[in-house]
Amino acid sequence: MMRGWVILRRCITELVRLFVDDGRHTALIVGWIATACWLPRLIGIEGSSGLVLFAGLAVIFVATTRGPAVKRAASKV
Amino acid sequence: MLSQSLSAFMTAGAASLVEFIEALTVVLAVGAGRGWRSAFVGALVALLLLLVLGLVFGPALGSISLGPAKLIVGTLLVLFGLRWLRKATRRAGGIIPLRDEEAAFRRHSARVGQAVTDTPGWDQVGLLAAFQATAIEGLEVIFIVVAIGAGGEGLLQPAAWGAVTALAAVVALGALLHRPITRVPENTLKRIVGASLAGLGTFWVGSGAGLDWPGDDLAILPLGLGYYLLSVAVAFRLRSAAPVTVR
Repeated sequence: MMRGWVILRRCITELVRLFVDDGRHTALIVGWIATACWLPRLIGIEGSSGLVLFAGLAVIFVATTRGPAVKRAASKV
Repeated sequence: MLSQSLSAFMTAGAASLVEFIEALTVVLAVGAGRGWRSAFVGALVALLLLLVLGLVFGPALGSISLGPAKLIVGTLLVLFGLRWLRKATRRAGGIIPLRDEEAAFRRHSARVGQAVTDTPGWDQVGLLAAFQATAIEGLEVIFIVVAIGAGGEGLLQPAAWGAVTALAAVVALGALLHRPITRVPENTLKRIVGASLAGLGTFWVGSGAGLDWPGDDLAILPLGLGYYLLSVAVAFRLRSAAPVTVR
């Protein structure tokens, strides 16, 4: 029972960390998901609405992985 | 009547197989990347919870709407999956050291004042991901069984047996696959894990929000593959771009 509580507490801590430590990425992703839920219907491309969601997430992934990482590598030298 | 029962068994079995394989993908990915213990316990707790819910509420579970749950769980899978994929891509691109996770965990533990070794082998994120995936897919299996069972008198039992048979087949498949998976290099595995979770999460978010996917459930594979290929391309670009930026 005690062990279960420890694991549950850590799960909650990890979820909180997702929003606190990684807040910028989380905000971008959640923001895009919220947008992609209505944007395709608004511009009349419902048939490809899932692909619009994926495309946005892919762009966020590439931008957040490349940009800061390269800058950090350069600043360390 | 026998042919109807057989049809219910086969249909429920085939449909459940698809759902359980989706859950197995996450459990294997989590197990290989974050530890088998957490993945196994997460999946087992979800199955037990579903079993209890199924016994207590029975066919009434069929009236629950899965859309919001898929949207929330899918969003969490995308967040965790892309975070892992980002880290593994940076490692592959030579931006961060290959093995810095242990040090990061120790730093975090020291910061929050916890003993590093109080629960060795447990990975809370892995446990949560395996639990969520199994719970959502298991719930879908319950819906399938209830829907097929509602098609006629005496069909619920063969439909339920179809789902149980599918679960047994998927568990056997998982037992066969988990060893070969551990031979894959660690960082490659982490990229596969991140890409799989992000792909499945993206699909669930879309399904939960009522978006259209070409090929329905088949879209999961190209989505995961898409994220993985993006990771490979970004890692390649990082490897070649970093020295140029340094100069």
